[in-house]
Amino acid sequence: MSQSQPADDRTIQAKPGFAERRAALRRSVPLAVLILLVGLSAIIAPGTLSPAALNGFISDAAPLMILVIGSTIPILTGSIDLSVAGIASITGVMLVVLAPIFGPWTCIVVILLAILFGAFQGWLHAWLQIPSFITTLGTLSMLSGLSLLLSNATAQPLPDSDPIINLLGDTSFDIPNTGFAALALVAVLAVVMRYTRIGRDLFALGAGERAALMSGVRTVRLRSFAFAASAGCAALAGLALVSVTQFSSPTLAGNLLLLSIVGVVLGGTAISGGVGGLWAGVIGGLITAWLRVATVLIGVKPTGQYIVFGIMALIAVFLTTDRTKIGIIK
Amino acid sequence: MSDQSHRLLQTVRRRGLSLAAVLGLALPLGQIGMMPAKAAPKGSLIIGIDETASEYWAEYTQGAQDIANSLNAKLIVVTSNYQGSQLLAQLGAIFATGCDQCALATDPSSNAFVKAVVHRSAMAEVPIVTIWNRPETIHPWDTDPKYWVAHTSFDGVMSGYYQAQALCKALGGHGQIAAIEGVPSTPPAYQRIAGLKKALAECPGVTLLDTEVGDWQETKAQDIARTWIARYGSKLNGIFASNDAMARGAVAALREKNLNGKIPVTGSDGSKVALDMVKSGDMLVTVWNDPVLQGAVSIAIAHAAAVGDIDPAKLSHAQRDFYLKQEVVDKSNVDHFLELKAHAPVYTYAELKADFWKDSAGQIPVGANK
Amino acid sequence: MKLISATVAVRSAREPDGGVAQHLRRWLQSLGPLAVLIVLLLVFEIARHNFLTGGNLAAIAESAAVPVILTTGLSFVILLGAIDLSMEGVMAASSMTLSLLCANDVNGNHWGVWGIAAAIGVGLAFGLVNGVLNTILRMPSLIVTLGTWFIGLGIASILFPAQVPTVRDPWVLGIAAYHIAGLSLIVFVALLLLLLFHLLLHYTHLGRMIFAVGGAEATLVMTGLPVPLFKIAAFVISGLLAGIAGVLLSARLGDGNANIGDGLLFPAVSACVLGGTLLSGGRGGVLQSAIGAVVLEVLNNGLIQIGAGPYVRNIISGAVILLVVAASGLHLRRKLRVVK
Repeated sequence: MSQSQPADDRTIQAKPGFAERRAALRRSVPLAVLILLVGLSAIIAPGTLSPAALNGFISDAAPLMILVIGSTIPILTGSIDLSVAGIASITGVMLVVLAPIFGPWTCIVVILLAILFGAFQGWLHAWLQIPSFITTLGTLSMLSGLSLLLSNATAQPLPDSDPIINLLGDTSFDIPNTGFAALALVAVLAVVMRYTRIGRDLFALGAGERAALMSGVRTVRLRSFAFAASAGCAALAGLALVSVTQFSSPTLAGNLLLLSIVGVVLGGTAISGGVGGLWAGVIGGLITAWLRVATVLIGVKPTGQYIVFGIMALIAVFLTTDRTKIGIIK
Repeated sequence: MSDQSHRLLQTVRRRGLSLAAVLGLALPLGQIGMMPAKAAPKGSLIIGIDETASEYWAEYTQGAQDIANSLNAKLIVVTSNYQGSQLLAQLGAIFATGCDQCALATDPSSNAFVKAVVHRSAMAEVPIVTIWNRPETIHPWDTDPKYWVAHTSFDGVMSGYYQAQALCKALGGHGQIAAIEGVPSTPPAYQRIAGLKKALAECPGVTLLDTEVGDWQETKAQDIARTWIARYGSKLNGIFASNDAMARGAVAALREKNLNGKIPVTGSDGSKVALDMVKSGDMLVTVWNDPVLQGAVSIAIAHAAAVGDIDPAKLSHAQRDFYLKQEVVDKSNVDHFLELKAHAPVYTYAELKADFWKDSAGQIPVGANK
Repeated sequence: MKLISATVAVRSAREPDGGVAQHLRRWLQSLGPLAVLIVLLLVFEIARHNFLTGGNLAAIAESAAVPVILTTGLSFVILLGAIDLSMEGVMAASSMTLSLLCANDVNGNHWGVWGIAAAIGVGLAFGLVNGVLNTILRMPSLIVTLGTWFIGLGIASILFPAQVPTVRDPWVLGIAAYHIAGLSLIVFVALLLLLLFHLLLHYTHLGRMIFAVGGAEATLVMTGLPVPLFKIAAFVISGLLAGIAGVLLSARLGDGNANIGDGLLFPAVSACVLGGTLLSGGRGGVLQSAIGAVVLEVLNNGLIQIGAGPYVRNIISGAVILLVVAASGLHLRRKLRVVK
């Protein structure tokens, strides 16, 4: 979204041991916040941590977590993808529309379509140099119109026998499979980012685009990858959602867009790019999912829920933002 | 090193200051009302509503509160803000702590989430009554039938039919009207438009100029109505709004051109403002859906199943999937409803238990939720 | 010394590469959105012959008034390179405050003009909080204003009495009811605010500094100028105008509504970008953004007029936004430009 500046001179001057220790400390803040939140809720409402309760939580949190992980990737490059919830919603609609044609392969086809769409929108944004905020805002509007049109604005039952949906809706060792899907996604993305150039280039792009360009990073291709990845994750999140609801709807993912942005930031990923990572996405997703139910767990009156959520999110962001690596805060 | 520690100290101090500021922000939270938080006590009543800042949902909650008071039970209210995933997560949080003999009445927020919400409730062994949203294909007797006790709604087709009939009569059987629809994926939205079309088929002199989606919202309806007034001018003789909020928006747009009261507007719900406008002549009719009654009946039936006063397996289809009665409000009877609004009857569980279906308007017909 | 370097920073922010041809091109570029507006008007006039009537243009002006006010405020924040997402929450809180403090049918309050002032004050306070959290506590504006968006909605739902409060105050209702030349006072208020803040942006020290912060904040910080103050001022302006928008919308509806701002944020951001105000900051202006807002209203009105369904309308307006923004930036593509 905004240009990020070179790191603050404080971090550069600090002696290595000191700086490293402080950085490690900072990195663990989001995790500490998560543990604190869960711990507090467990004290206030015992039973929160029972296996049944946690399983319910995982199945509710998984779609959000997958969205957050996906959204993290464009944000690492300093861009933002506002179309994720739109993609998640249209996934269910497409599933119903395409099922008669592709049968058991529908889920795969839908995910591939989403990845193609994401790559196209990343390419559009990078090649035509339209800010990602406005590119994805435009596509968000188009996606929501399209899903209303395709579904005739109604909720439709999913085809019963889709193997992937059934698998996602099932449990293994009494734990919802959507939770495993989120973990598998993180593992795959982590391998890609660790063992290919892509990972390094993503961070380079986020930390300083001009420098990255000069040193031969192929920005258009990289941006396409980032948006393809986030769209693919969004589609997976959509599948996870419909595996719970068993119905598609053009507005299924609703306000998950805002929650996913909150999640990215809460994990400690800088909205200006270059700082953060997949692990941050996992933690951030979990914190957000917990904040969403915390208001109920600690028994806030319904009229107060918005305010409490807003203030808790602000406090959490205040604690988890690593300002030492960002010179200018926009 | 001393330089470093000095810096660290500064950072800590600065952070401490800002933390204090944050705490200063956070402390007033205590005032916002933390209820004593424990696992939900035995026999709690839970309702799931769409938003708090709405007259309709405030009255629905009032009806449920009446029943809770009469049972000396605790009422837990969760708010979905029209997001099914939010509702699911919050219900999960309540059920997590265990809930003995609890009962749930909720709007699943959209058709898509009905099955998931019912299933979540069944897993926690909490009887559930749904309102407004139910997909055509699933019913309480075929989906988790042991816990999905009943579904209840108001007949949207009749509501739209009553409104359009009133418009037809007011226009003397001749004229052109335009309709503002609610969120298209919700049953009341398409039902009310279907009712409108049914009435117009019986009133061939009145034609439908245009239909636009106002998403139940006042401001959107106002913009739509303003555009219509500019486009159709004197060709526009009446406005059909699918709910009272959008009717208010349409009247506000007419007021900008001093046309309020001259072009008839209809709505549905029976909100206080709409009743006032029917009395003042700005609105032609509204349809009275009693949210207090709906709140009381829906949670009472769920509670009855929770404590064993009724056995879902022994209920007929007409008892498990029914409309509540509704009435047309026009200038002639508006005072009666204004009086009801000011002094809503206080419902008690014992009184409703005599016949939970006293105010039923019959079984929801096949195809109503298509 | 400080002043000189600040001026340099301002210059480098606004004119990175001078030259007559550049000037000409920039001037043409700023005309782009206006051209889009004219093309749209003509297209709709050809499609429907009674599009350009006085009545319809007045309807467009009425619908565009509040979006113009919102984009004016938002432009100040976007010129910094920051963003303000809180407007929907601010409008909800200000609408509820207004309808409960002015004469109404729920309580006995009768604050009159002071009620209006209080509602606008709510907006101002939100702006101040946004600015302080962003600059003093150093939190990104995107997330700060997302948080205060929720808080605004929360304040509205706490304030909401059991029924919709109807406004009875003649002052408030008069804003929407009093017409001059077929247009309500709301349109004139919007024009006045637009002019006022245009002058503020281009002819005052504060305005120039806001451009400078957006162009080269790091340089400006080094000059020792009170950069946080300029940034807070921009957020306060944005909050203030959102507060005013909340008042005007309530006046027009005649009641207090917690959903009054629903769906106004994203069009407002789109309008700023359409008009040529860059999200990265430093370039653009309130007039350009206002043209963007009018373009979107014309598009919306025209699509309703030609009978495009609501779903198709979403698709078309998304496509138009993308096309216009892509076309207006096309000539810059070859440069080594950083777009995020």
